[in-house]
Amino acid sequence: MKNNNSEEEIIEEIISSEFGLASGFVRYNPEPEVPMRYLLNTVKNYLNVDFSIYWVTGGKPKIFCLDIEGASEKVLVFSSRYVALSKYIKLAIFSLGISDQLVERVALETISEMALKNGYIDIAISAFMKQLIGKTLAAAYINDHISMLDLELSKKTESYVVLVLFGLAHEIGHFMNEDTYVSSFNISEILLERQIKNYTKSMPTWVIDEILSKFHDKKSDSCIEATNLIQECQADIVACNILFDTSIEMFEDYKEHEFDLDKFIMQILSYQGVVGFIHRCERISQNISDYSIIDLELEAMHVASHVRSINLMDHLYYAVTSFLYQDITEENFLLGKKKVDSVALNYFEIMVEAELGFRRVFDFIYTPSRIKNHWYLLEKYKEYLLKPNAFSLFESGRFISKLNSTTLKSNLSKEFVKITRNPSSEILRSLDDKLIFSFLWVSGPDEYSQPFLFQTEKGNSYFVFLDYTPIFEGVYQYCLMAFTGQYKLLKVSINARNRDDLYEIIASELYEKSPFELVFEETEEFNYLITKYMPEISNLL
Amino acid sequence: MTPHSINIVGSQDSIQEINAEINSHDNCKSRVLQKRNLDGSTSTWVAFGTVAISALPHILNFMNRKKVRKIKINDIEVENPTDDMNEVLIELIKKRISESEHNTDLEQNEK
Repeated sequence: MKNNNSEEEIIEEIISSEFGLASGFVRYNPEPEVPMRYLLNTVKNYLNVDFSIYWVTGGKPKIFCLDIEGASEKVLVFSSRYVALSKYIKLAIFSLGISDQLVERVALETISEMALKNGYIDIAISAFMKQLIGKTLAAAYINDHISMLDLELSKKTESYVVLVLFGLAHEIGHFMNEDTYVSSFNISEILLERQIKNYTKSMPTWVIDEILSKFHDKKSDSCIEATNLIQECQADIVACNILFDTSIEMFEDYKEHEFDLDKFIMQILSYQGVVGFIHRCERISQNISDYSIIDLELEAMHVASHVRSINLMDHLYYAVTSFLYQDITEENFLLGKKKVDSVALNYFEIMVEAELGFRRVFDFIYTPSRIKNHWYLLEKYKEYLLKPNAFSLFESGRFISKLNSTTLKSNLSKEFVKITRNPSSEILRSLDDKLIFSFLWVSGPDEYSQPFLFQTEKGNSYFVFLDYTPIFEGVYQYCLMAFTGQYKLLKVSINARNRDDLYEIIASELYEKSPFELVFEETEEFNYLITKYMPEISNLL
Repeated sequence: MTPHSINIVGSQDSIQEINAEINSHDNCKSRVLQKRNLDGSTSTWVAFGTVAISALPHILNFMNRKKVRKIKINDIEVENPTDDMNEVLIELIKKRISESEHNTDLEQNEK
């Protein structure tokens, strides 16, 4: 680097540092007929500032802005991968017919990609295998075939405008944080606190307290810190206004598409959900070493995303009313509000469903038995590959290409590559890698700590779960009903080299040295006992 | 004299002070930049510049007393440095400087 710290050198260094050396970038100067040019023209009506735009290919999916002290221009940086990923996630959540399983898969796929770029190879492989097992061809097809080229060639609709331009418009909005125009939006700390309290009502008290503490702590670097959240809401509203104007002008010129207000509202709101989704995946992929601790910032991000949606929707009431009617009378406002509500209701219903899928990803990531049990997943993956499904092999091949493009290696990655190429080959598990088994466990006064005993017709039995499956959760919830008072039912994971080793470990834990047997999930005996003693949950088998 | 590139991420106050400290030394330059992500997280503040070998120990010692999330000097990068790590980093940089000077001396002697 030269000694003069020119803006170009600073930008180059920041982009390399943020996206990785494998990425490439250009300073983007859009042609007059390109949608981005319409955006920049519209921005001139809002803000008298010059911008330079950098378009990054490859590397991590990111959009950010830079404000370099003393520089003549503000800098906007966006990556093709971010736009393509946004489109994929939006399709998965909002267009394909929402299902929590699909959301779970897309989240795992996203986390896998990000974890690999962050150097967490085993988690990346595990998340990849988890999302692939049982995947349908249709869902696999989409992510592989979305590129910036597709977007550029696609018809310019409300979806295009929001996907490609909202992020940049939002960043531009941040340069207006001090503007009197923005302060007129009337987003106050009191208003946001009320919205947070309203949305978190059903959460545990300690989680609500933590979130509110982050909200009020001016020194907090949480996304939900009040001043920060106000600025984010303001930037969203600026972006919404800019895109409203951009869309109307652009579609008038293009004459190939008529502006559709309902679609615009839905696209604006759904992008909020998509951004929240991507950034929670990113957060998870950056904090994998802390997997055993519930990351409260993830909850804060979820709540902040909802609050931003609410404020954006409130703003849309005015924006839509003023678009539809010349005068904003009370009557007209109610009509505008009704229009927005009819679309927004659908959005919030989808987000509730999507959250269910996302919560399952939390279980996968933050439960030690799941995250460590890569080898169990590899066995499942092998079984899956042995079934006729050529498309999944294609997807695995692409993933291996990504693995090979890094310098990362592990025992799991070697076996993963081997099994992918020849699913019939034997998995050679490293002796250093232990399996993790899950148990129900009872803790109580005087340091009482024992595995949860089932007395069955076969004597003392302990159920052993191989994974964080619905049946594990089902048995836990079923047994939980019997617990009141000082004793607690817990989920516990135990490391063992094999099943014999596990037996010895459990035997050493028992206060009473009576004979017992371990009943492993996925065995006939396990299914028989669950069906006999817990018929209410046997449908989970 | 070869300048060392320096890139420090931290709180706004710390970065402003570190930036002033860097610029107070001869042959050292730094600029502050604010980075905002689309994710809604708080802004990242970065001091970005070049420092001369002679000033590096002073600047590192100054940074040791500040709230810093990441320090990158040339190719050496430390995330969330603790006071202990800062000291290790200072020693490592000093060692690199010493090695660099030693190599330069050897090259000159060979000539």
